Amino acid sequence: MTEPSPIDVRGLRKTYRALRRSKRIEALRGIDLEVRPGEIFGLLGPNGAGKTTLVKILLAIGHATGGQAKLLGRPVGDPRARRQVGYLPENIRFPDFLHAEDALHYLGRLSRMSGADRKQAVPAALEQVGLLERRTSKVRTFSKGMLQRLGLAQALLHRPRLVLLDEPTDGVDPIGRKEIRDVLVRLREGGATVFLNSHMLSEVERVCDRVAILDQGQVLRTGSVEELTRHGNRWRVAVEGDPAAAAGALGPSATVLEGALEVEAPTVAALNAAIDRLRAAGVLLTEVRPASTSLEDVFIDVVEHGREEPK
Amino acid sequence: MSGFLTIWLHTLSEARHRKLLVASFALIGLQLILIAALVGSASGMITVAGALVHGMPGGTDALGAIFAGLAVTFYYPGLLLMVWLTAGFFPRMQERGSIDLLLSKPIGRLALFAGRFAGCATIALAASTLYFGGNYLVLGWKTGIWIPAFLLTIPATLFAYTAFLTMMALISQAGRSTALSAALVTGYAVFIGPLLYAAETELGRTLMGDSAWAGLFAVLYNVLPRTTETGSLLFEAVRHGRIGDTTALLQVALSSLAWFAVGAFWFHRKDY
Repeated sequence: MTEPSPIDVRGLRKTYRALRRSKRIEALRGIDLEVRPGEIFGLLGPNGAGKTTLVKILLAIGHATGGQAKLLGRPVGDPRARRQVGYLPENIRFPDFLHAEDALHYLGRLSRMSGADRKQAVPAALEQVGLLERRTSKVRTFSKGMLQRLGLAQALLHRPRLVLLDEPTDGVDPIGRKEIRDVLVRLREGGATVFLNSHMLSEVERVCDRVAILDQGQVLRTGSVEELTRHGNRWRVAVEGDPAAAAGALGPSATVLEGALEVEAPTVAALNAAIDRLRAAGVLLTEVRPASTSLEDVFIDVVEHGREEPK
Repeated sequence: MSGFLTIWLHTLSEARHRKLLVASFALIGLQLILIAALVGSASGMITVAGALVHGMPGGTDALGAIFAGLAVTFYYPGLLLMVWLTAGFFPRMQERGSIDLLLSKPIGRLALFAGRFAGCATIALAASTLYFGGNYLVLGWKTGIWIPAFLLTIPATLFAYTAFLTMMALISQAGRSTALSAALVTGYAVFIGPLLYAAETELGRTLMGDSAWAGLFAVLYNVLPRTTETGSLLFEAVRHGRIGDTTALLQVALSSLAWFAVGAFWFHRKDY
């Protein structure tokens, strides 16, 4: 039997009602999305795109107006599906009168963990996010970054199969961000699926296997990071010396861009032929890699074009 | 452990950590010391004051009437104390970042709502037992007169409090504000409730005649819990050990159930 998709969304719609029809907000306009088991999936979108609305519907924190959504093969709203889900909300708020470890025990009980399981899992989760030494500190004494780490610890406490993270690195320093990225990668290695909702495009680019770009309640693009950022059949070839002189050896199939050659080669054989010609011309190569744009450029391009197209 | 039980225990833990019970117990303790001093020197003053509020009856059972008057005198402050103690529990649960976290757990919304409700009611029961039990002991110790019916104030106050709690739970769906919940319920307890009660008396009906207000007041009187009348019933119960007409009690119970159902349904359907 095949493993069900951790997240399967079909034609999902959400309209926030208002007394006047003109004031109604269509937060989600019939989106389709499938997240595969064991991948880190990034959801990108400008403010107000509908990202948090989608996550809230998946966790039954909000209700859909139409369409279908399943979590680990069960309809959203079924509490059994949420047993295997960890969630870090944006601007998480803990009971501030509790100590860090007491907060995790409380949330672990709500996740149906036994006392014996919690006894082992709580220190391990605190250690994983670097808060073991602060386990007896009151949550109200924690900084924003520490609260985020504690939020991540509670999301991972019950070893969920699916982890949904809403802006997990918000307020976290660069070292903490790196540690959180490492945790996400370890989760993927352990077979868990991660759904990441983030504004930090560079981080999404670093850790995500696939991403979706959402704007104005619609999925504009879905694919792997490489698929989205790949620059057609072009390759970036860095050379020693003047790239303009080297470009002469390849004719019109090469251009100079940002201090390197960008070579048009539809196949690997064509790329190797181009390299042979450069070597024959005495050019020394220092790097060859697929030409790509940054995810940020792609994101801006997709969103701007999406807004220009008629709905 | 079920979600309901976890939330119930957490609510009690929250009250303990926020020192709410300690603060209320300190207040109650001070009041008991004051009562002890007053009863020792001028017990009649308090008795007369309490009895006059709800009508001192003639007859021979003056002791029963005195204790009934005292019960009612302590009833309203006790009730308001419980309301203020617990007014923040529902709004705090629904703060952003907190409610998201709770709802993402494998626990039904109804269990969450009911667990919080039961936690608040338990806190009120603890405070009420200490408050009225303390007053009973002080009065008995100072006067040598023990009238166990006085302890009916505990279930009576808890009963009226439960009606107010359903209102607070409902108000918090709309406002998520502790101050708003406490202010509206206090306003109802000390002003609107007595006003509706007064409007339904013969004098009130005569004064209002056939005005539109009379219709509105009649509707509200039947829809909102008649907690004012529970005070009068308490007087009767402590004095005679029984209640004649239970219509008001039944109305409060049904009204509270209805308010609870509306609050729970709203909580169940609400988008956070």
